[in-house]
Amino acid sequence: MKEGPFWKKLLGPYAAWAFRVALGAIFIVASIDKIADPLSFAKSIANYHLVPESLINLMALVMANLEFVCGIFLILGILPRASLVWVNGLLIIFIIAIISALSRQLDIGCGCFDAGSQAQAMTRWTLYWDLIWLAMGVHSFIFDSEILSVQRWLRRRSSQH
Amino acid sequence: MKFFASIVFQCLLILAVATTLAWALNSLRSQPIPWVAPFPYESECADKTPLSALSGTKISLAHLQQRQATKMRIALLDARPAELHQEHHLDSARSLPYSIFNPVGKKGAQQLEGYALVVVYCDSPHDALARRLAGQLRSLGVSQVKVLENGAKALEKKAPPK
Repeated sequence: MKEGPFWKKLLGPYAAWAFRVALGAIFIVASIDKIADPLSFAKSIANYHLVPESLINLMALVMANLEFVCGIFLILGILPRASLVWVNGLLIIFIIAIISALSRQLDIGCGCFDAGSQAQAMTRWTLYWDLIWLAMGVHSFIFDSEILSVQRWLRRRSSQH
Repeated sequence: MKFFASIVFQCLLILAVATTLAWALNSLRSQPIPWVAPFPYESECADKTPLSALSGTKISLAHLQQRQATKMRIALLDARPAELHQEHHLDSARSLPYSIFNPVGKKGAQQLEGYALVVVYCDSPHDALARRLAGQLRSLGVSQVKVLENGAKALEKKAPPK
């Protein structure tokens, strides 16, 4: 990596690292309740009326664990770019689902962090937050230089031997 | 090109890890949920009323006709696909097809304001479509909704001769 002014680093690799870790933490927190109670999460997905009925359980089981795995990988820096592809892809899916539900005036919980009966009601702010996280994810994908990542540590270690 | 191939491979690897984890955690549950299965009725719509509690919201054809004779303001809704409604339907019924992808919104529910009774029917076994549509309407605040009991039988008389 070329040495440049500090502010460029601050806006580039360091910000990308901070966004990567923040997104990882957000996705881990968001996934825990869904993994613990997949049926409630499946009901949240069903409420959006966007997925064929037979695929709802499959989506609930895989998506919750995908969020968790991506969250862990982002924080530790394991396959960070691929994890960011998944995270950004999931965020785009969430944004489309939220826009669809808001435009149809569906009075449902967003199922973002709590899939159960205490799920937060969906508002425009749900959409704005997802857009902010998507911007963070895209920035991190472009500028991430694997600072404080297991992948970088393993690469350095293998090059030393 | 190599970069994209590498990213795709890594994405598939992450998906495999997540799927394995999902399978393992689901297997450890005392009651694992099926991976691919018809979704239980109670969960298909925002209405949380259990199926058993809906029994009191049925109306028979004879009872409906009695009510219609009293000039009561009744909205009769056909939950079947629009094409089937065009072929034949009960007198004074209007089409409101049930669809999981295109649920009735608040605007649709507002059109039912002012009716003393909303009756939904279909021709599926156990009036499944009508029950689902009734569930959607109920979740939107339409409380006076009932399901026509055995809609298939009521429709038989209206079916065009084969």
